[in-house]
Amino acid sequence: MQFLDVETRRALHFDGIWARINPVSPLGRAKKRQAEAFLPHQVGELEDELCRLERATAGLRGDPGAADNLLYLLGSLVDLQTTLQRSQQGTTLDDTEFYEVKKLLIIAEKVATELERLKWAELLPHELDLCPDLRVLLSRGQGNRESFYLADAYDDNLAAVRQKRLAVEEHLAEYRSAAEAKVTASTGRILSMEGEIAVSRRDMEVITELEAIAELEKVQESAEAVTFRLKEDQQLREMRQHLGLLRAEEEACKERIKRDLTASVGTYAPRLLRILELLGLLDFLLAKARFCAEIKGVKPVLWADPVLKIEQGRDLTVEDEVVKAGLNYSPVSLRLQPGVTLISGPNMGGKTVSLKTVGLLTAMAQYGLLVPAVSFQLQPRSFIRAHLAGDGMVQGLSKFAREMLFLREAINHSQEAGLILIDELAHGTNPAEGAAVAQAVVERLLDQNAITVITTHFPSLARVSGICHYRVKGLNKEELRRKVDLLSSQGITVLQRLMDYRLEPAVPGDIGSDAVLVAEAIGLEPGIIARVKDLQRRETRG
Amino acid sequence: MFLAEILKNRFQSVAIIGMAKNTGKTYTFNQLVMEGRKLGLQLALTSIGLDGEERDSLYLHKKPRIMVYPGMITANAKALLVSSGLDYEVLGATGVGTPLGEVVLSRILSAGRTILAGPGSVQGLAAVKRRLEAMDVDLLLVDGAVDRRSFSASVVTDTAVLAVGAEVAWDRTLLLEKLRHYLAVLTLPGLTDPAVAQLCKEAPEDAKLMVLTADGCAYSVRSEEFFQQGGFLDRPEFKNAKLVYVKGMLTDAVLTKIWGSAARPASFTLAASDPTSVFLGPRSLAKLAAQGVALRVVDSLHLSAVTVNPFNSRYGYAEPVQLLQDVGRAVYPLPCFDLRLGLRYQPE
Repeated sequence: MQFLDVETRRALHFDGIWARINPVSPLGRAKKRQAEAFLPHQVGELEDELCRLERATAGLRGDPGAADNLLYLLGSLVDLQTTLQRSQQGTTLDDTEFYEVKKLLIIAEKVATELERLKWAELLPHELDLCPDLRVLLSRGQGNRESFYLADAYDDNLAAVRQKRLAVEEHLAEYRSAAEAKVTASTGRILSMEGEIAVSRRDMEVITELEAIAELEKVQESAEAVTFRLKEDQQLREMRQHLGLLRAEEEACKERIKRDLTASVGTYAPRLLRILELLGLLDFLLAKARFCAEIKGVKPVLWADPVLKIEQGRDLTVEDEVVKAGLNYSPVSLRLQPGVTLISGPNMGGKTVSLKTVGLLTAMAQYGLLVPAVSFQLQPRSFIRAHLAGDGMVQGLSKFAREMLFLREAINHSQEAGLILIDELAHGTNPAEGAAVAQAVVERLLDQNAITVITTHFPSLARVSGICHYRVKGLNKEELRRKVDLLSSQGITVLQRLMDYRLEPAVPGDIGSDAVLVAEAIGLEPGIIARVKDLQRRETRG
Repeated sequence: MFLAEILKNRFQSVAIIGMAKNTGKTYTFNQLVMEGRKLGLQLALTSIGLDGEERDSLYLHKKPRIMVYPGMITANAKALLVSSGLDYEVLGATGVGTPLGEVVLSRILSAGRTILAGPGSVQGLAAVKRRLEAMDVDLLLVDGAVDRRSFSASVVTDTAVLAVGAEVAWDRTLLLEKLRHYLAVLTLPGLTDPAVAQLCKEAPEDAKLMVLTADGCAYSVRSEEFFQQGGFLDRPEFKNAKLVYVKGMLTDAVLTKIWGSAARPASFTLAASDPTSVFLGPRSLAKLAAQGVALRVVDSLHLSAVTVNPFNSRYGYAEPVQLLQDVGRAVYPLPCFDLRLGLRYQPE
């Protein structure tokens, strides 16, 4: 069973959280895309990852700019996997690709030095192999420059042919330069790229002067202008032909060197791929650390006890909204064990948020993140499934039908050490049948390995033997009475301020609800409220 | 020399833009390269996109190539660099992609010709320019492609040179009419108040208009609202507008919409982001001028010179000195050159 399915990711707003993790390199982004949750059998790897992340996060908390140099280096990384594969297949690489390989080695060295300086070497699962021999090979004849050039030092033949080519080019340039000096002296102008100069016929004096320059010949005469061009005698033409041959020979030499260099890069490819892998992991880790520092995350404690314990956990999405509204956010504290835990309490009491917090923190922990809580202990779960109330028709299925499909799958896997979160179990049908369905489901999930958390208003569930039950503390009624005059003008806000969202162990059998109070506070017609109270009294008496 | 004239203002980057194909843009570019070399400048060369011109108008040679010399730096697409046959040192990658591969910075180590294909966008060109600035380059020359992007290169560079040719129109009156319109748009003055310019730059992503009223209020009008009937333009607040900034393209249709507003203010300043986003025809410009509406841009362009090319692909060559006289007079006091003949327009 997949750890998190699409519905659960959406219900927990996990994708929104995940989107806040932004690696700076294509390799880091690839690592993020490939990231999967750590499952119960990977607890050792998860512990290592969380320790590394805790170390990086602590560093960033102490100095938010600590990783700036690393990020700059990682940000200039290029994904060379295709290049390296081509080198292994024997396809000759070009100069820009050798440059990229050399640059990778330079970046890797600088990253290693920076990690050393920050005393962060342990952030990498393995030491970076800097391939010094390849670095030397790709730097031959180039000093300490970070650029790449097929220098003379690669091959004596290249050096020799290049020298000849430069000598010919210099000779041709000198010839042009000498002629151009004469042209400039006469006209104050220079020759065009083609070695030409055109003069208006109105400027006969200049034309006469140019006619006197032996190195120039007339190539075009029109009614308006005369065009002169640099003359080329047989010797110059031969020299130009020779230059063409030398260039071809130089290219052939370079091709040979590039083939040899490609073979060397191909040999090193597995080690270079390992560098890319490690730098990608580092980038991803630092991206997570920046996020975790921002949310003030703590390292989850992984323990062998199947009990899941949250102290003051926060749902980041809801917390943002609450803070923006100028209200105080109430963190969630819970202790959950295999079997079923009920959360009951008044409407608007934050039951769903508590449920989501459990799921979100577990998902974050198992995706190798620090979590927004004072402390969080868990034994990694094999899956998380969440079903939230409030969604309408999806894919032609009613809410109730979808819930039943969800339950079928969850119950099938409830022997596994998963986490099942159900909001308002079976409330989408008639209350009598719904309560019966809910009770049967709870009884079925009670002695399973999965931890199941259910929010409900059904009193019958609170009476199921062996169930663990939390209740939202609810409205502060004393305070509400004092502020009754504010209700009409600031109804919901007053309720939000007076609601105590904290959870407390419930009195056995007491489901608790402030529905009438909430309805009254929101301003439902007084006649209806009176009638509700009347009906409640009759039911109590009857 | 032509370049020395341009460099008097200590510009460090020049875009060469053409009014149309065959206006001698590449000839102008190469001339600047040759002169820059002669002056001993550290030159960097790039283009905005790949020029689609097939043949050089002046010599009818095969596709003109840019001449490069040892020591020059190019920002060129990888495929063109590696197939150039030039000797070069790879200095760095830019992360700017083109259909011919990433734009790569290289130091040229042999003389020869190459085709340049630089960044295809203003943002890409700006990124390449930033990289080159860190390399002690004296002058960056940008070859503009002959389309709207050609103009956009000059948004990034310090100044531009406009290549004008008989190819634009063989009829001299028509040529000068088109030229005057081009110049009127290209040289639109910038907003004088930097705070207002900044406010325009910060207009919301989905805004089409930003309206500043005489009492200091700012309203942004979303594209959706702008194009619907009875929107902001008919509200009384619009009557008090002293500046209307049009985000994105300022077309005749947009102007008509503003003009047709029931609450149109009597006089106001109309602003666009830069000349490359102004697509108003000559009639619209005349109408604005007649109504006393000032047209401004947030980012103005600087034009250093105009070059002329007498070639027309249908009729042959126009009389070059006369063309220089006519164009020179139309663009004066901008310097105007016929680079092939080495002439500069001198006012009579």
